[in-house]
Amino acid sequence: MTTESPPAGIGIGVNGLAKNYGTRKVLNGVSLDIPAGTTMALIGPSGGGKSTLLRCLAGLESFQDGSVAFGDKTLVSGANHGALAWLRSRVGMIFQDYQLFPHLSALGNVAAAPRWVGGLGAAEARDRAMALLRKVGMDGHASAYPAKLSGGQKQRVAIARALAMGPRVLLCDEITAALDPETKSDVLGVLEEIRSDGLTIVMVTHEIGFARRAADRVALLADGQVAECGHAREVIDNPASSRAIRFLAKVMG
Amino acid sequence: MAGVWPFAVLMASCALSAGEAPLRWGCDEEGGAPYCFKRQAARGFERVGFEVEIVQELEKRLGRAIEFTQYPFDNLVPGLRKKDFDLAMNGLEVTADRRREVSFTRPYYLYRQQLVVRKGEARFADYEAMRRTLPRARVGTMDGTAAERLLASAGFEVAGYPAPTEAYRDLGLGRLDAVLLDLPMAISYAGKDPALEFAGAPFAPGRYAIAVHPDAADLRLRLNKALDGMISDGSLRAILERWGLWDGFQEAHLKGSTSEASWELEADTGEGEWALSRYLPLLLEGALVTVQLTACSFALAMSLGLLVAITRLYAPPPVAALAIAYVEFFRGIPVLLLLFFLYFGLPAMAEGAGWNGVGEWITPFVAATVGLGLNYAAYEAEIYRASLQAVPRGQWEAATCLGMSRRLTFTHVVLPQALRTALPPMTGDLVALFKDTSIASAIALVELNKQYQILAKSSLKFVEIGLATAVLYLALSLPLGYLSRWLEQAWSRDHDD
Repeated sequence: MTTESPPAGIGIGVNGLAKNYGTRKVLNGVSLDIPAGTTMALIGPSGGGKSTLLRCLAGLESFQDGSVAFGDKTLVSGANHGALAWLRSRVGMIFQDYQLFPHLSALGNVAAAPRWVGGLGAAEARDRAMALLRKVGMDGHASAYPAKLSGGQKQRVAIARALAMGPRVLLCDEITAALDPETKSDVLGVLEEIRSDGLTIVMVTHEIGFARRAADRVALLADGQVAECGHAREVIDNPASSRAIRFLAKVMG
Repeated sequence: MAGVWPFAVLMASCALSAGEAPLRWGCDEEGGAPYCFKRQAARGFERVGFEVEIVQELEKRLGRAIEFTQYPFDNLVPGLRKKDFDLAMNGLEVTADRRREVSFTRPYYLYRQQLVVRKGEARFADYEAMRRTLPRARVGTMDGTAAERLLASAGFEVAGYPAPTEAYRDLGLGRLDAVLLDLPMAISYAGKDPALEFAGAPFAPGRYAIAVHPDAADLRLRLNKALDGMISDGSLRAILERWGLWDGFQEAHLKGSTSEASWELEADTGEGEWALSRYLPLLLEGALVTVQLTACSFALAMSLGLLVAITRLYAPPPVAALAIAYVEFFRGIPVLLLLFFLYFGLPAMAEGAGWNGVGEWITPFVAATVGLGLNYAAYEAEIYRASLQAVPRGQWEAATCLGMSRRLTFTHVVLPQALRTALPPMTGDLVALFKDTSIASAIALVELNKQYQILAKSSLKFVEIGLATAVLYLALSLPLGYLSRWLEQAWSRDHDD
């Protein structure tokens, strides 16, 4: 192959991950296998450790024990400068509260990293940003500043921004939690489209219906441990563990 | 009965003196040798000087107590007009401008101007030689003196000081080419300084007299009578001799010095000469210095303030503690003190350490820029710190996840947002700094406020020139306020939620 193919997803292996804040154990030996190009939904009760796990994968949190492997690169507890630098350029993250840069336009937000980190010229970065905004249906608002955009629009710009550096893994932290039902479906639609590009996606979500439909696998985290993990439909329709049964009964009820 | 009389007389005189409150004497004892100054005595300090002795003699002759009132020298005439005291006596020269405002008694001393230079430089032999060889020389003198007016009309660059000590010190430090002051000050300060010497003979004579309010004709009469008595019985001569001030000139002219004729320096400057067209260019010159000082010191305050804020927020704790100490220190000390230290203290310290020439390099403008800059940097640092902290942590995380380094995140993501938050308080500080530059007049920098003081005190047109100065200050500060509001609105249109 001589032509550049779109970056394929890479697999993630989480092994015995443990993290505490002081004496409180937030993650207590979490192990997960996320094959390349699949979508993993992390569900479970609040305080169960989903978001902390995601932030550990993003390299935003350190952990005390265990490891996280992206392909053949492994993060362990302690100093990981080399692996973290590698991770930064290949893992994109989307936040519940968008965290768009308020002093930059939609286009500026998406073009920022390619220009400042990737070293692209202004025109090139702009073209790439426009293409991504088109992909998320926000090309009509390229020059708008975040303050003028609705929540759903902001989140779609945030998705385009997270894709700007060509990541192999996309981490989504409750990205529809702050949205109303209508815009929620717009954002989830965009996410389904990206999924078909072959990226590995890990998303923390409360949208059980969406997880069942769009995720390949679901892991239910409770009390810092994986209570149940498997194919999305199996876990959601026929939970085996009592912890999963209790949680699903509550959220589906 | 005979024994009752002395008692009755005593009672009567007590009643008389109790009825008459002491006269208040306006005088500046700060750097006031040999006129009136504080000297260390066996117990604490005592007030001494040839004028103090004249006043003691006058108390006896008037039969009335005279009470000292500290008042800045160059405000003595306005102070007398306001009746803050009854008489002004402090080497106050009789001039035509002052005669319009206050009444003078007969003279008690004939002053002359003495040029003082650094010893051994021999650049010019006397005042006339200085006029020829160095017509733009920087010459120090005191605010509101006849010497100041003489120098200004001759076209020299005049550095006006509130007291003679600072003028002679700056001459010693090489910041001035010469100092021109009344002979008594030259004798008292420069005469004792081994680094300084007199250049030429004293010249440009004039008269010191006691000033009273124009309404106080009776007081003036009584003072005149007392002074005449002191001259004819030799007690004034005795006082002046004790202070080394009696000379051939006093001998020849003091007695007959009451006529107004032939006192060259007292010549009328003429009301018409203080028209707007004369003082406005000078005020504009001062305004330019004020603007330059504001711009330079604020630029320093912004860059240093940012450095301090960054250190405080992101440096390891021991280093961050230095930033906290900086803010607390410079917020806690008065700017005036800082300016005096930088301008007068630092060169003295440097000289003590064997570095000469530091005094020449620290000009009033440099000292004022650094002093105001250091002070305002403390305030700017606090503004930047609060603004930087107001940027959500999520912004750092979002940038990190895009592969941006901490430095890049700071310069491209966090700082631009923080500066927007900081802008309104910053422009507020800029306006405050603009007005605070007037403090620099204390170290002889002729900015707008100092120029106003010089012009108003020379012309005694406090209201008119004051209004013109206020208009200039407003014309410069109001646009700053508008600019800040406009910037705020322009940015909030795009960015505010």
